Amino acid sequence: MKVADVVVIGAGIVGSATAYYLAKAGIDVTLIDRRIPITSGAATQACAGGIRQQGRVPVELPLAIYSIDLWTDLEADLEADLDYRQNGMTVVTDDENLIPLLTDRVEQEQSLGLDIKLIQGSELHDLIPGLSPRILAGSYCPTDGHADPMRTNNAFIVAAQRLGAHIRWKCPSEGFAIENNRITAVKTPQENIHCRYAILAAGYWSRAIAAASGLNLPFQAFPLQMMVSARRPHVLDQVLGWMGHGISLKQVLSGGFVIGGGWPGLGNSETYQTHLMPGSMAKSAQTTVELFPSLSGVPVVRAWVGIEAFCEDEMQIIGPIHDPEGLILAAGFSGHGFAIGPGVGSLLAEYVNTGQMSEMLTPFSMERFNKPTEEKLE
Amino acid sequence: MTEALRLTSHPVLDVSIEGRKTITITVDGESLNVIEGEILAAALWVNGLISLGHNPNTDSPRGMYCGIGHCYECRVTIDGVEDVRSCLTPVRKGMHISLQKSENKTTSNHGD
Amino acid sequence: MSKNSSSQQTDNVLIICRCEGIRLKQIQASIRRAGVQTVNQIKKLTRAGMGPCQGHTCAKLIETILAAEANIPLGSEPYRSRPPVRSISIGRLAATSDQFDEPAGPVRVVMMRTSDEQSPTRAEIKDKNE
Repeated sequence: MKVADVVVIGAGIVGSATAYYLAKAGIDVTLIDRRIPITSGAATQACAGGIRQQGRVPVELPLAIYSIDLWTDLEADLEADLDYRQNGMTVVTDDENLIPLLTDRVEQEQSLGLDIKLIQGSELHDLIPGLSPRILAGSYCPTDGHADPMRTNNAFIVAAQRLGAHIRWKCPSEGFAIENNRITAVKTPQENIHCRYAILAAGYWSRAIAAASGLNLPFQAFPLQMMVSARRPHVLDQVLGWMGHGISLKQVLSGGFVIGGGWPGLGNSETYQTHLMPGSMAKSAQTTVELFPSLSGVPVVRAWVGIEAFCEDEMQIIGPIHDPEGLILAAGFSGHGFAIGPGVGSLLAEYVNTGQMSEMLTPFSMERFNKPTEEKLE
Repeated sequence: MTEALRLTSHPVLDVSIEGRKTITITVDGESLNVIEGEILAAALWVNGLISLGHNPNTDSPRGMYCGIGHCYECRVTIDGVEDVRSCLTPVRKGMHISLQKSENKTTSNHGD
Repeated sequence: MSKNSSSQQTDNVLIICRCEGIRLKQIQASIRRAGVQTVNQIKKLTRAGMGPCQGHTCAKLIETILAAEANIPLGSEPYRSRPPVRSISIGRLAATSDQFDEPAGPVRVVMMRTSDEQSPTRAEIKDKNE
């Protein structure tokens, strides 16, 4: 039987990007997902579509900057319309006491090479008309932006397939066949898919798959809720965040306002069933009108929930496990995987191709948990 | 002329306008006299406001279509609240209506 | 399904999703190019069903197109309806927020990291808001 070089488990943004870059490198890759793409109610569904470099844990910034570089050519590479715009993002505050904190972060990120600056007062309000007058200052990064997560996810899949990737939908992974501490296949109900490498990019469900091989991924499933409004004339170019408040606000190309911010929904991580928490809709709406008052009359047409995997330290786990050999993790993106998805996919493909793991990925290694072996089986 | 379309008698429903008060609403700043209690979409219609906006990408004019609150073709802004279905809303004295003329001024380009 | 040129022209102009202005040809192209199997995938790729009526008018039409193009049986996966049942303005939603005890705040204020420290937990935000 032909041995796939790589099986990628999970066709969300990370898995599909990884499959694409592997196929682009000429590597034989099979992408599997237990459901069908772009409608499975997982993290990519809960994604607000923001593509930012700022406000990330500092060790992640090089990966984010590298990813934005990929994003700017992505529509051409994938031959698809992703609604990608790089119009900037500003994280604001209305609290004088938080301005020094914001300034510290801006300076730290500047020192790491990010094009970002603190803006205040009339400069801020001229840049972002419509912001509530209570807003005092913000961290403005002009190279941050947004895109459509569904179109991007699908475009990676279509492009991967065009470059030779094999795709299997409704194909759950039940664990791994291991010989001499090396992965030889991914087990599925239909058959074992023989491979040299398995890349586990199945979001929260990576936990159950990994557990089958005695590996404990410290993830929690958080159902996060989103809202979108009807189309309106363009009044907002930037993505907005608000320190200490749950909101991410953007106006997408087709004119609707996409409102996120980490508000909880209800979800069952076994059945993928999700339900809305009406209080989250109300409080998210409240935060929205406080930030951008002119949106008060704009109708919300839809709210939905997606299940995201939060790692215990809120950083994703990326990299080879070595026990067993051949297993590579790329999961637990804790609500911030979309922007860096292309970078992660590209660098993982490079690892498989060359054996070299990029320094941009090494901070996310599983080794950081450094637990003794007995605890691994909890 | 569009008044000619108004039903003023019906074997079952009371549609007579005898003795019904006339009230004033504004539409995009212009005053309009309408019959109290009439459905807004109908009141706009008899005043010649049949097209209430356009749909995106096709630029096709839209106006009351299903008449039962299903299709949203009749949506207008009432007192600052947007996308209200005028086919379900009775007129009220002093209502401020705006037709959502620039609703679709977006730059979306729907790919295949 | 063979087409004469006048019905091909119809495909180019026939509006399926009136709210978003999506034509039959765009939906067919999405099915053919991206290999989609459900109306919900079509919705996400073409925006058909994303307008103010939220698919009430076009969902059945899209199901029928999918059946014709890709032999997907009608009813195999219906259009996924989400609340609100009918649109409601942000301001009206906001005005109801006092009625809700839950949630206390966002799960994680994930974008607000200012250092290597973790972003505040829900418990911390609750304390701050009280």
